[in-house]
Amino acid sequence: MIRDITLGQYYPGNSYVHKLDPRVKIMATLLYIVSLFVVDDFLGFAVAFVGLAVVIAVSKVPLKFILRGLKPVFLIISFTFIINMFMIKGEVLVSLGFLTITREGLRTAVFMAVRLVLLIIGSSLLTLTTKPISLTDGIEALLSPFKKIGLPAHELAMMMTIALRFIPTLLEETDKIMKAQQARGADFESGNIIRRAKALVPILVPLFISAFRIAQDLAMAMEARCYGGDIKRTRMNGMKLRSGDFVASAIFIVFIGLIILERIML
Amino acid sequence: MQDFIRIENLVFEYVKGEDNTSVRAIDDVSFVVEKGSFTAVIGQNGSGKSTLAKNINGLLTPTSGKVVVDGLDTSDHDNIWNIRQRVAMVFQNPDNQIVSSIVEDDVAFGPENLGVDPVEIRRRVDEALVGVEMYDFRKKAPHMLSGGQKQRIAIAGAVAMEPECIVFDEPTAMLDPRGRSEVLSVIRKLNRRGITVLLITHFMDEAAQADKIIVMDKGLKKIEGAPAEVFRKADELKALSLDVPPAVDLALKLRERNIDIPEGILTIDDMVDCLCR
Repeated sequence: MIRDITLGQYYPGNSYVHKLDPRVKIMATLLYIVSLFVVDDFLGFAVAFVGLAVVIAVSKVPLKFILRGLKPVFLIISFTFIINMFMIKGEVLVSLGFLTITREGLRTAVFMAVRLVLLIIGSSLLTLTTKPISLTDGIEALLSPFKKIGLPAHELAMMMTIALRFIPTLLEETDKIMKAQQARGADFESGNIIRRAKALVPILVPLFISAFRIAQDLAMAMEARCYGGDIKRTRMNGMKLRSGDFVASAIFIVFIGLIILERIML
Repeated sequence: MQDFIRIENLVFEYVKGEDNTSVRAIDDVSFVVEKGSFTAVIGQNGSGKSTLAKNINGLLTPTSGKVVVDGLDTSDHDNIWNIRQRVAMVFQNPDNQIVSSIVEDDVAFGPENLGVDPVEIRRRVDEALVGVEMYDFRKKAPHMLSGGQKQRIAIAGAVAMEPECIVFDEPTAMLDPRGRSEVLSVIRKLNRRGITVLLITHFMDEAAQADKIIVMDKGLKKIEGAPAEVFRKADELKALSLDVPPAVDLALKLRERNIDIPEGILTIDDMVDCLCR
């Protein structure tokens, strides 16, 4: 059970999108998000949607997985939709007592919802097609130019790597603590939400203590393996841009150009 | 043979935080470890054996006395990285010493820290993983592996640094019997290949496979010698709440009943050979 959890929401695959350099994917995702804010009409969104659909098709990630990413934000999307629909003044379409729906309101509501949906699908595509560990490497590489102004890029990436590595370990630890307390009569399942939250406190205390113990052990093990931060460190799997990465970048630049052109011309 | 590690009158004291009282964990211990040898350190919990291990690669430095590794003094801070490259260490808990969530990336961690060339790292990682028979698991996530497998990954991580000596700090304490025997056979294989091994353990049958045993008690070195010599002092060991390996125990009991068992029987296999002859 707890051993079988997968980290992040990575969908294993061997597609062209999966094989792209993480740096290219991260930059493309960021640019795509920015472009969604450049767009000011539905035609622009149509272009953005077609681009996204092509990437999804190439990535071979099932649509079910992609739409699952929308579930947790469904509430936010509906909330903004309703607020926009009722709050914006303009030409009245329907009037329900004190609530009125205007033409402008309806347009803005749909517009914002489409933007949010595209934004979430676009960014979840990054995490669906990139292993967490390559994502970390990509972030480290992209942030490294900022080392000069004192940004600890390597340390941040190392923290993410260790956090990813220890999620399953801490889950196992939690499981162990819960079982030990249940064996002595602790009750985590009954009562209202406040009671259940209170029952979790006795789990958190030993869990924190054990996390600190693990941290101390790990620090010692890392020191024993000559870890001294970023000084003269090399990487086994250095990232290298291949021809596929250049092709993808070129296509993507044309695509972003199209979106900007649409904004200017129409 | 050449001395690789020389420990001279080592004293180590822990300082407790609140009232600044110090607790003496190691009290005037001296011994040498020869190049290419297999030394076991045994003792009860709290006998100072783990503290001793951490003093060897400079994770802790002596309160007084000296630890010299391959001519380098651990108390000189400039030597620390050279010493840690020469003396790698494997710890007790396999989970708490693996850094990356991919097996081969974890094995590469040590050489990466040393600034080794990427092509060379690849070669070392593959070789180390083949050496511990975990090459087929190189792309797996460590949390999906058994304790014995994780500990072998940790050993591969130490081997990839190409050290001359590996200190094992109770590497089998948290493993099941199968994991224990897997790890121990890897340790013996490394020793045959010329790596100096220092094994901290409280399993007597593991210590019996060493060239030399050092018995620690309350920070003091009590006995030092070849396994056959050490286990002959069964009464002395029992006084320190330590046992002798089962085969040695059996040999002693048989001799009491006037059955002629030759000296130097340490393992079950030796005993079986001897009795069936």
